[in-house]
Amino acid sequence: MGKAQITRRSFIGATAIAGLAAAVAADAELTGLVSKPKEAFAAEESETRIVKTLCAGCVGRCGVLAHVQNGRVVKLEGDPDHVYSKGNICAKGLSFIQALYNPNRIKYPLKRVGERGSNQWERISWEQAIDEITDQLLEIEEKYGAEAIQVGYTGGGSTYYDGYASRWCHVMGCHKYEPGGLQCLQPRQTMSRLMWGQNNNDFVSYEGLNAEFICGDQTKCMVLWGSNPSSSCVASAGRPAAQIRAWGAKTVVVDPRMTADAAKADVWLPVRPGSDVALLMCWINYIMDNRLYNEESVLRWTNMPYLINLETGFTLKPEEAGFEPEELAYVVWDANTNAARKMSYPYDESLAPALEGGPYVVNGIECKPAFQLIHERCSEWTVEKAAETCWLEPGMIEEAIRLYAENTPGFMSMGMTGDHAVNSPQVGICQLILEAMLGNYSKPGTMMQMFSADGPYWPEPGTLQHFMSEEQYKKRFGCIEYKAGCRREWTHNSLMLDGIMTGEPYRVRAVIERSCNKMINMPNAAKWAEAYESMDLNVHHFMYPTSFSMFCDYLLPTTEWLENHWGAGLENKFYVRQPTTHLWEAVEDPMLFSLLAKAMADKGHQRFIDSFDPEKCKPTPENLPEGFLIDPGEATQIPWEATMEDMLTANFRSQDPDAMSWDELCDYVQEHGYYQETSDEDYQQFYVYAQIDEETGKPQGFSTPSKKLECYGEQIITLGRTGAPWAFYELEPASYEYDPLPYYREPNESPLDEELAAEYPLVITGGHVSMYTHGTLRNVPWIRERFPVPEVWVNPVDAEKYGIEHKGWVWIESKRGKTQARANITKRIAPGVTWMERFWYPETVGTSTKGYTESNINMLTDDQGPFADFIGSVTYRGFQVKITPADSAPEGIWTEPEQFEAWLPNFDEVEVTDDKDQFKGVY
Amino acid sequence: MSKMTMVIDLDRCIGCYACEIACKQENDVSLGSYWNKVQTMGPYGDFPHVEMYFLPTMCQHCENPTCVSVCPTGATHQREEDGIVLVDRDKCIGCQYCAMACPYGARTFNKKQKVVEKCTLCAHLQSVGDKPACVKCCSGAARLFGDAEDPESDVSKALAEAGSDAVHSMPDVGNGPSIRYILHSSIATWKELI
Amino acid sequence: MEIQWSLVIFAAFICWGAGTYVAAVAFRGLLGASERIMRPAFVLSAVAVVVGAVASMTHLGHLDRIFGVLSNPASGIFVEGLSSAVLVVVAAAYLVAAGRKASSGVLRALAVVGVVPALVVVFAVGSSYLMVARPAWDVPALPIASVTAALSMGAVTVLAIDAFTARGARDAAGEERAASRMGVATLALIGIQAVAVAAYAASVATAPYQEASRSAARMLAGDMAPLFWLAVVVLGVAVPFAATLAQRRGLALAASGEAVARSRAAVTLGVAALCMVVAVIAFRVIMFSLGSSIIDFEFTL
Repeated sequence: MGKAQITRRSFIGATAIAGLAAAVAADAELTGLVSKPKEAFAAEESETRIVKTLCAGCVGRCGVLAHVQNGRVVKLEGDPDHVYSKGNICAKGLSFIQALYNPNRIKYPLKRVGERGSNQWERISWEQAIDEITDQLLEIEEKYGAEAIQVGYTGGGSTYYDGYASRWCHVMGCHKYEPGGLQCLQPRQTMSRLMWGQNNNDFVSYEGLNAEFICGDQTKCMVLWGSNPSSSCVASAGRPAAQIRAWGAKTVVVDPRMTADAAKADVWLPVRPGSDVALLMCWINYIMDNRLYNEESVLRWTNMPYLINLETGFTLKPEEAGFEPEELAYVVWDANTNAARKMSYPYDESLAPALEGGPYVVNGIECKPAFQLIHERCSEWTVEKAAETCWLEPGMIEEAIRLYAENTPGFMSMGMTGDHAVNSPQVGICQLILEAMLGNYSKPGTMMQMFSADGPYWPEPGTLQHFMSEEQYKKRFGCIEYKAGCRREWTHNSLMLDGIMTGEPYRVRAVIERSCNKMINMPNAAKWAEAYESMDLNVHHFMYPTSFSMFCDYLLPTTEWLENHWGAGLENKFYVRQPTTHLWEAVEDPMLFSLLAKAMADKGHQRFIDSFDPEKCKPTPENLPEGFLIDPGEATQIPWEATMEDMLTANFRSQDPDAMSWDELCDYVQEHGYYQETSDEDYQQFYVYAQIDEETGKPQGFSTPSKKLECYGEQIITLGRTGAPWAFYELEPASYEYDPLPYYREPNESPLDEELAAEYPLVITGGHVSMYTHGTLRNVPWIRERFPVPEVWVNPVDAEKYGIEHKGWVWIESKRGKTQARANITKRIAPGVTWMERFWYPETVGTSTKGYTESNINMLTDDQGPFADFIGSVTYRGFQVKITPADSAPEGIWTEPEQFEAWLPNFDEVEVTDDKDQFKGVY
Repeated sequence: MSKMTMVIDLDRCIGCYACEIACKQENDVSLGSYWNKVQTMGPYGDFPHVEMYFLPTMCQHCENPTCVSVCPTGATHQREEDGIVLVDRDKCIGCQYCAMACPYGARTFNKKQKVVEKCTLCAHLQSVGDKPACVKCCSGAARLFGDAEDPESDVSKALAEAGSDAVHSMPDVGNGPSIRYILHSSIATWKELI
Repeated sequence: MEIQWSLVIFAAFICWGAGTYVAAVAFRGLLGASERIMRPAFVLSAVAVVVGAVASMTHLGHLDRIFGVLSNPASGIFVEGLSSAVLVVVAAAYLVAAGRKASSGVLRALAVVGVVPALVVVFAVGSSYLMVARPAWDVPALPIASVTAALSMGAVTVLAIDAFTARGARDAAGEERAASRMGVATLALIGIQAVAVAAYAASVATAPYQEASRSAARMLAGDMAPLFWLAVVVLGVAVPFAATLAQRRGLALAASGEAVARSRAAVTLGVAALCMVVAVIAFRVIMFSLGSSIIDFEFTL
């Protein structure tokens, strides 16, 4: 993807919009209508400044107009200039006004004074906090090595911009861990990257979808598979999904829950949690059996006609078959001549490649077409068998497949469901095969698009991969076995947990944590509690105390997104998240790492000293360590800076010395709505793969080694053997060969296991509701009063069987533990299946439960494997529980509206401050 | 004479609850009270062949509002120029007879200010040419606002396009609710609330 | 809907006060009751109405804006407020006039004038709730039951007053005849009240837009049944009926010379009158509980 150059010279394309406040006249009749105090109207009349900014309430980044009066944010609205949200905004986004001014915020750096968990703190300065923390980090590195430090990131409530955190880890020689990553989005995206060269597009993976750009009015069928845009990313994804439906697309929803989108679907397949890949393989098999695929797409634009060498597992190379070597040429079995033939790129019209049959013997080598191998692998999954395995009606499966296959162009959008289980990479593999077979890519009406612009780009501050030594790099948990994790350098959490509990291969001693509440995000939370108890140093940098905070030694205040500086390239437009105010002593999360880096350098840590030296940061050959394999790129040129503004300006100027400064960009966006270089017409290009590359005179194809859609993902095999294309250094092979063909494994705990099912008869799954993202917003009055406690859904049949009453409290119990929720008896879930929302109670964090044991699905999940192959996902969804009525609600939780008044803003205690003041003494 | 009202397209409502919060923010509705609320209807039928939809509820801005006639002070009134029903909080004595007289329970008592409140169709925003907060935030574009008497308005056009079979309303006990709901049977079958 | 306690107390005391007023005037004028019952009855009446009115004011959010009600004379609040105020004024005027030894003609005229606001207000505390929005309220039996409750409890109250004040009677035989007539009338009024309660139950059972929250079943056999049978029926009908029968037995015994019987009857009747106040409270509690609107959007959590 191209990069944005935010230059002063090219002020084109952006729509000018002056977002003026609708100032309500202090008219007696009208002011009598609203609950607001009259003075508010007077103030509104005096001056309302509208700040264009971006929400960070979920992974979407919708446009927000923040109304600011005399330094106080008084109202949030959607920004009509935004390419996805188009002026709409969801309940979560709106509620952040109450999160911003929440009395529950961590306001100053706090140091623990009582026992861990006693919730007793003393206020200290930032200077003291940074000084003491860096002292301890240096000591830990000295005693145990840098790998004993872990940085926790994302998983809700974080900003998702972890560039400085990564940079800090690279310099420190330590690693990052997150609850998501390996089981959230990355399984699909790594497979997608390997098979078609770019991220798979879907509704909620990143920021959203512009239904107009993809010509959603031409979409004939939309399949949402474990994807819940109406809840997960309401304005940026639910909105376009609703639009595409309104334009007339047929819809299929595959989801154990009847989501809002499922309720509107033509076919809803309530698949048994964890069995998705069996159903996907059934779809592939049915489409192949019934030849419902787009033959032109399969033959010309995928590697499915290519012969696979059955010995090596790789595509047969021309030279292996006795042909002249030729770039981009592969070997097919020509049905016309009944012989192997070399197929030059892009296609040879004289050949009739066989898709099926074999093994064909070529030059003594047994081969089969990739198509045949995929078909063979999927062939056991007949509609009948899939129906039995996935607990579905055969007729509905067939109807759904036909809707999808016979109504093209269309698309299949995946969600988290598949990522949260043992088959996670296979979900992405199957999705790509299906979409490729139907030709659902780079066409009007499809979701897989190849739009490209001089923008967007994401201002990721400079990482310093080449500061990470080979020795430290390979210490990352899961580095060898689960190499897909190399892409984003995530630690394998469960292996880390094992390390902490057993000392093998090593213990982690310190955690610097920037996500919300690890205690509700990590599987088998009770075990993590033990692990965190055992740490030498736990630091939590967050907006408000969570259960995790209770394990900590230092609590550091960070900003809500309404106080943040950032930017986002979305489609061909660039938007800014500019601060509306700054409160108390909050420090934005990238700056924490900048402060820590500065203090480490000041204390004489050599790699940190080097990281401030622009010459040593440059990825020149002499600066790269031996065996370093990847190109660190220009990100390294963005140095540690003392302010967010300087860091962002440096970021833009690393790409173009003439770029606007951060402040200039904000002014520009404020006036023009967004920054844009590529016009919509130039951006919205279809059939990009077929466009002729001027250099080669041939179609440009896809960003894969074969320039085809690699439905047979041979790069997956290479990944398993060496870590290419992502590992910094060449890695030894995993203990098993990565298999690029789809395969299905029954969940670790399955209802088909009769002995287990006798004790734990229900399959449980999880997933979002529209009012919460990850662990956030449980302390926001508007949200909590409406959804004060988590629901567990139980089908009336099971409610009858287990004596559960509607709205009654129940216990949910697995082999790991038990927790409580309030039952919703509903036919939105199948008999034998249950769904539970994850939850924690900010009001009880100071008690013995720390707020996380009462209603937390992760008291039930298992941290242990088997993990998903390639990437190591743990199982968050699709395991066995039992459910029994409970006598009462958990003790001390809040359920009544008036209880949440404690979290309403108290403006007498709000301190508006200058964000720069927090850095004094360090910078 | 015009009749400002709302049409809610249930085919498009995705049950995200943003309208509830947007209303709370815009009108400073206190905790525990709502001026609009999204109800879940269903699922009806036998699993897995079930139907469900979301139903945003609000003051129905009736043609013959029962709340107006019982109000002892004239605080609750129907605005002449556009037919919307409003409460003037400066005249309200908090007797709550209007709340009792509403067939839908669409009014709420503000315990702090001791007056009755309800949806105003964001009359204060209309006065500066803006739309109600719930309309502006709606990601499903399910809420339309306009003059029911004007055939060219968004609401009239949406109703005409939907066809009369797909247009529904709250039960009418002589009050003449003006809010219309669009729901096509291809999405779900409309269920009367009583 | 939620029980509006202020309005419950308001209705009970208005019915008690206005009912007592009407019963006293009627018994005096039509059944030859002694003048001595009038002052205590009117004092009680005025006090009860004032207590009720004060209770109703606690229901209002903004008493400071009360004069706003002048703008809608058709509203229930206006009618209730005006008629109860007039009733208190007339009762007070009567008491003042009686204190100043006004002629019996003036007193009788004053007393009769007060019957109009008394009947209006007891009717109004029922008719104010005739709202199409709430099917369990929108039945003619509601204001009728309000009037019959007021009259029957007023009659029992006056009987009690008569019994309490009987000691100083000059024409004992004549008074006992009057008391006997009053007893018969009271029994009749209690009977009518019983019919009115039954009529209300029947109206609830046949009201449109039936729903569990406002069903006759809920009242007669559901969570409201104990209140209905024990309070409305037993305390509101059976107890006063028995007490009135006891009054009649007391009269017979007194005739045979047992003075104690009469005062015991007075206590019994007094207790019965208080039971009837409780019964009206219970009836109103049931009424509010059954008073769900046709649909409830549940805008209050």
